[in-house]
Amino acid sequence: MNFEWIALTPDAVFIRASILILMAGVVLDSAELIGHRRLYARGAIFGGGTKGSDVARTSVTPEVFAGYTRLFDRIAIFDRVVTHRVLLALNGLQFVLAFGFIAFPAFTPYIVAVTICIRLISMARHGAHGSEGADHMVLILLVSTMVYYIAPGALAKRSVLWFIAAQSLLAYFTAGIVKARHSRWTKGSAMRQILSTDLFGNRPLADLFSRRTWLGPLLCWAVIVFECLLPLLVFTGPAGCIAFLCMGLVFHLTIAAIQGLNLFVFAFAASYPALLVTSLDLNGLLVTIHR
Amino acid sequence: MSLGIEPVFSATIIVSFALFFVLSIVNQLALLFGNAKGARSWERLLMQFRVRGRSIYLPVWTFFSWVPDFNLRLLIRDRLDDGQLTPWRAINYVCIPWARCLWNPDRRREKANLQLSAGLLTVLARARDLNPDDIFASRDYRALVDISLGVSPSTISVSRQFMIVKTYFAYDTRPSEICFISPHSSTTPSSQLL
Repeated sequence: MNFEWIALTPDAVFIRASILILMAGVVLDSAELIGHRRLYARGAIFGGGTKGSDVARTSVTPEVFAGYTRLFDRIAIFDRVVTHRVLLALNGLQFVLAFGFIAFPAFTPYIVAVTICIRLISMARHGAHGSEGADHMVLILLVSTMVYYIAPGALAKRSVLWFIAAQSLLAYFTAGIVKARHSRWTKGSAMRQILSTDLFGNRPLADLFSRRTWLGPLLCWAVIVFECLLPLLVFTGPAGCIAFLCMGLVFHLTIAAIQGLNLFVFAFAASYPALLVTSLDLNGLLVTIHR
Repeated sequence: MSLGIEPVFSATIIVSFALFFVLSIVNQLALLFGNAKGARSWERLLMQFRVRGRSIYLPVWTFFSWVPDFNLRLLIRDRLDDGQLTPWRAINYVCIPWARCLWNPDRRREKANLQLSAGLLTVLARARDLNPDDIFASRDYRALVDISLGVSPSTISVSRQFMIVKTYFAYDTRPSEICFISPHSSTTPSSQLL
């Protein structure tokens, strides 16, 4: 199969493909926030404090607030400025801008910059609770694409694509290694347990795993092998990389369908164009070294 | 020979990305080898830069490294103006299994509930070393009070308390455990904890 088209396609096309996928994720994420705006109202779970926050903080052992005291106390004013109405307005703006990216491609860098600011504000306001790895991937990709537009030279622009690919691979490898070191994954009980939880669960599948006991170890190891070994296909050239990307897409779509982690599909798929370019570059480098 | 601004800017971008990537790797290693001395020092260092317990700078890619063998459920009950207590009721997770891939905003709420409940139980586990006030001043406790009070009370409710219950999975025969019952908090706007 001929993969010359990858080399002939300008980097900007790959970046635009990434942004398009990212913006689809941003639309979904903002729509979910706007649709469930009561969760962000004052007194609700993401709405900032009411009475609980007014409890006196006298004689508090510092360790209890580990990770909160320093910045959290300093940015108390932040909640007063970024009220839930402001947050909703910002997310509404983010929602509209994500469509604006398609209608006004010339404004892409500005749209991405504003989207980054809004997502940072949202992340700072919500804190650690309720967040997920996909938020981080989306932010990293948005910042990277923003840097792509301000980068002056071809090498700097190409390095943005390499960076995105490297972060994506690091995410897969880390997730795989951490599972390979965990006895519940290696012994095969992890899938059944996760599928039995309220949060990531799927009752019919959990029951199926209980009835077919061989399924658990098989799928646990399939996930470990997929995350630890299959990303290596990126290093084998475009054909292997495309095979990995197809499997990756199926993997994330399956997780979205079974566990409801829908933002991960967009967050990881947006890194795939960069993986394809990097795969071609790595392949070219290896061929050059062999000669 | 003068060096143009463009090569310097390009080099800055490349070096910044390379540095961020190296720091990302270090962060993953610290999570993978959390008990090592270096990993703890790294964790302490990062803690200085967290925003509300969240590291928004360096990524964490250890998806599903924690595999729970229980659910933590949050229940609430009210004290009415005649002194009677209502039955405990769960703050439920509305789950639409096959639509979740398209629309699942509840996952963030449920995850926050789980994280806050688990956080409070961690504080309780360390309670012997702490001032008792610390439990009620911890952010997790205060956030859970907020959540419980955020659920609309009946018009004759004067106060509310919450309970954290650990329930095991269907295939696990262990009975559910009550982990924590909070004191009552007033449901009227201006009062403090009762």
